[in-house]
Amino acid sequence: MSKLTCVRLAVAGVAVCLCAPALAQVGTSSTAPTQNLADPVGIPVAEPWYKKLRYELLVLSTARWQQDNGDLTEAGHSKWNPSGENFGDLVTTIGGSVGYERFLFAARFDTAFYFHKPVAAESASPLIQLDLQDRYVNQVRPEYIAFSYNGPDASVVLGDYYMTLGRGMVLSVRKVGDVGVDNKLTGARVTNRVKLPVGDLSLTEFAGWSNIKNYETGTGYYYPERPSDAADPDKRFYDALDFVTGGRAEYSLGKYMKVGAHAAQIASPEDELGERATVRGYGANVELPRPVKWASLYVEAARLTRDDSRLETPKNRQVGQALTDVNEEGWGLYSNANLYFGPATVLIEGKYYDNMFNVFPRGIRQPRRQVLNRLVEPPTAERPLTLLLANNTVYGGRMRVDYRVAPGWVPYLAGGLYRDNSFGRQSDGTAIDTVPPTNISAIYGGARVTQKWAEISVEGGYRTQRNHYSAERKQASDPDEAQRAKDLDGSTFRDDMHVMLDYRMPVWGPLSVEVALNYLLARQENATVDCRDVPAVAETDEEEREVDACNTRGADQVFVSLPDQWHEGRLALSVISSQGFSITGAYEFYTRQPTVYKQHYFSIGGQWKFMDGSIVRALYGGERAGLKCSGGVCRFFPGFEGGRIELEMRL
Amino acid sequence: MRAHLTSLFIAALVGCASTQPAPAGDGDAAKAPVTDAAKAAGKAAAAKIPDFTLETVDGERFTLSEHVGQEVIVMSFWATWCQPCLAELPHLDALYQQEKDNGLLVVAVSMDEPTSQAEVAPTVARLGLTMPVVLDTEQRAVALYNRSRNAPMTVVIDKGGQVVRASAGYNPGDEEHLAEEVRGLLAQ
Repeated sequence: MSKLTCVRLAVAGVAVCLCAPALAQVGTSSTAPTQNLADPVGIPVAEPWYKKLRYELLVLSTARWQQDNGDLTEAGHSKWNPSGENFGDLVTTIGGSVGYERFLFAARFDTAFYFHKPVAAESASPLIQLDLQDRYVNQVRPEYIAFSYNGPDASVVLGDYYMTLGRGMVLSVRKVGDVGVDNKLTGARVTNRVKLPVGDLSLTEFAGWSNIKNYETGTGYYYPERPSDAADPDKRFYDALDFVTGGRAEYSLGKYMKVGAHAAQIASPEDELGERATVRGYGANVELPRPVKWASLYVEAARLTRDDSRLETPKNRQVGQALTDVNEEGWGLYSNANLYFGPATVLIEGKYYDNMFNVFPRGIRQPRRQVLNRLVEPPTAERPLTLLLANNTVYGGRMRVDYRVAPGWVPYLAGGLYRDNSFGRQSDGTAIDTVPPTNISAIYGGARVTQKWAEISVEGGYRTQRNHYSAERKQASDPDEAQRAKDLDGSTFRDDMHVMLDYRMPVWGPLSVEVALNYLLARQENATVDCRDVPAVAETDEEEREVDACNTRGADQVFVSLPDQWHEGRLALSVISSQGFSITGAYEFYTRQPTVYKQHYFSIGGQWKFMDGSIVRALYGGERAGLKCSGGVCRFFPGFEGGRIELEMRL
Repeated sequence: MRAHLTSLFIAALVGCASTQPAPAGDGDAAKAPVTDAAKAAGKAAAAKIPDFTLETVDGERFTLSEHVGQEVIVMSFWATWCQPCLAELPHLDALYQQEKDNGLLVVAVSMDEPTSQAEVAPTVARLGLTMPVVLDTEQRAVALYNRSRNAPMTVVIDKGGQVVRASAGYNPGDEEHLAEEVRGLLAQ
């Protein structure tokens, strides 16, 4: 039977095809038939050990020919990036597990093989040349291996595991499969639970090395085990191997109260520049799950410290790096409360973060890659699919009210207000005068209708982020700066408006039809400009603004006003049969300017469940480039044009 | 280092062996009177399956093995951002209401991460769910029963402690097939 599974993707804040038709259907787990453990007179009969074995094998294989990545630059041009064009790949993930009673061994191998690999033009920029060295590397590598015991009062994992403390303000090592994030710790974790005369006590201790996913399915990027180009380590990525230790203790009084405290230390190894860092995090939380029928409360506080030292080493002197010793600290407070008044449910969420700095695994230095591999991820207190530009020094909150009009009819309305100071901070926590805070306001609402004749989910919202200059800055002694503050106060930093619609209805017999729309209109008027790349003489209005800003502020990087407005989204129509197949036609668009990518894409795809637990999917056409978000993580996916066949088998 | 880890693992296992397992069947849904033989069979069944303990949205402790062998268990992995999950959960809850006195337990396992975890309890309230809803923030249950992290994902465990179904996705009408299968298991 064809199914709906959930792929949580978002187009810069807008969910994409939350109910993508029929992504997966898997069959019965491979287990022995049910055994009667006693004979008819009640005498236990020993079960052969091999009948207690459980096993599972999951194979997900994708073969595709990528014809065009949508890059409009001519082949051979210095800016032409051949990544993603005219090549084939076969990417397979093989995961398996064997279980015996409460013991479980699980492993996963990621493999990738490429055909007709892209080659950069001789005139291509060094960055493009270097970029291709990290991509399209044939490989077979174990990515997850774990041996575990899972009992009622204790569990032990030896190998790879995920770890989140509290709501992620101190440590969040997790998998967000939709965007290719799979961060793990490789080591050991022990959890014990003890029933006390009053309440329960739970203790967790863990230690391990950070283990990122070395292969990015979406782009073909490969993170080597070790840097292969030590001469330019800033451009290389490799397994981080930060040593992470920590623990958590929690005392629970059931629905009345839970109190917990946790701590973690992330010690990054010394790199080629003699730099090493130690991040320590401490946190505590109090939760009142349901002390009364109409309310619940959660409060968490956390503190982070970082000691980042660059040591004096021969290599360090060789590359001319200055010695640094940066000590930084931040703290955060997060809270959420739920109120229940009959058919109405109220969610209130708030945060106050002061320099809750980003923590990345060592060795991953490009911001675009760093954002995928954060080891600390405080809650955003915003709509979950919102694209946040920063979440470090910010305070504010949101409220959402849902009202159940009737069974299956639930409209809702939400709004949030925030003050974001994140951009006005340097890495050592000091303020940057030229970058103002921003005020954020967001409002969104929608409804979900579930009836026999149709299922409808609709949502729309508007979020605006505006520059905020204080009265003090408007009265600065420098008249130019004062005037600038007055002019730019309240100007747009980023605005976006989103609409989501999902409509599904049965049409005839086993057939149903689904229409899914995700649309985003975004406007961003500030951009970071690297003054070292700005030409000496401006030829366009944009360049003139850049030159003016750089000359005025005398910094390496400045924010300048560069208006930019674009549309992006997806419209899909699916015909789905409950007998095992579906067909989907889709139109996608991404109109951000200046862009070197195609703006409009069409595709047709389908899937067929050819045997129990196994599915084959096919797609021909194009998929847009752009940001896709999931679980608070956003990443840029390249465009795709070509053909693709996927096979999923569960045995 | 591997030697240290191995020692740690062994030490932990020794610790595990000394802990007293929680009495089976003291969960909310375990109401049917059971004979000694059935208790023994249930205990044996519970020992056959990877276990986990998680908190419900109401703060109660949920341990899988306390129900294995006593009830037919349907685990539904879901998340607040998953539209098919939200469509499926009311049907599962209705099935739970109809069959819980006959030995069925349906438990919804939320896979929400810190970013969306605040929305779990309100979602449960507005859907009017009565079945246990547990929070799997650390992906402990996911690592055992839904490693590919599908949403929704339905896992059915019979009274013998065997996983007899693991299916991803939801289409309207699937709940009828599931109900049929569950009633068959309850009748065994």
